[in-house]
Amino acid sequence: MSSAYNYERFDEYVESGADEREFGAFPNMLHAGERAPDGELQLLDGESVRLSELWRERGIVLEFGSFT
Amino acid sequence: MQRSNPGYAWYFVYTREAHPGEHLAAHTTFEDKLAAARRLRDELGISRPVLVDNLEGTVHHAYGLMPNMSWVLERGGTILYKAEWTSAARIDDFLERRKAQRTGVTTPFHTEQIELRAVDRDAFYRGLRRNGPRAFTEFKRAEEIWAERARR
Repeated sequence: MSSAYNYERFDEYVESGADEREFGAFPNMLHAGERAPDGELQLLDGESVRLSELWRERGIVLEFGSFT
Repeated sequence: MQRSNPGYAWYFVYTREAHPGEHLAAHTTFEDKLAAARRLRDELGISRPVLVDNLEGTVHHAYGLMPNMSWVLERGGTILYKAEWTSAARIDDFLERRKAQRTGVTTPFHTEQIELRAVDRDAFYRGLRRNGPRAFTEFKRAEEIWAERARR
């Protein structure tokens, strides 16, 4: 089962207007100078890590992406 | 791309698949997603540590759902740089400039810019086809939808 977030078809995702909503919201949320949201992620070896653990010692660059 | 600025650690955050296809399905379990992230590291040769978001994309939602955005967070977690699309060169420039200004008296100021990025359509289409033929045809259909919207 796919979900709205994990959509199975890109054309249906675009047809739903979700791309317009998401690209439209981005410039108006979360700005330089504000606190970054914390969150938990997993390393490829399965170990969990919190963003706040990563930025405690040094600055971090986060690039989000997938295969394309 | 492994970047050298020693003050900052670079991470790749793996999200949902933007263009699922016959060879790369949308994730339905976290295990699928983790396996796809390992493939991504191996097939695209990503040398930065890869961080995998949960299946629901909690961190991706919190940062705004852009498919290839980037953020620079300073030690302590304050946002320094927000970009809708990633340009490693821009980030490098930004970090180099900050480093160069560390000495002397400085005071912060806020900026907002619209940048241009180079588009390598052939490489992008190759990526879609690697995901599977339907990833390509669905993208072409999406282009028609965008063209219709632009005419409205």
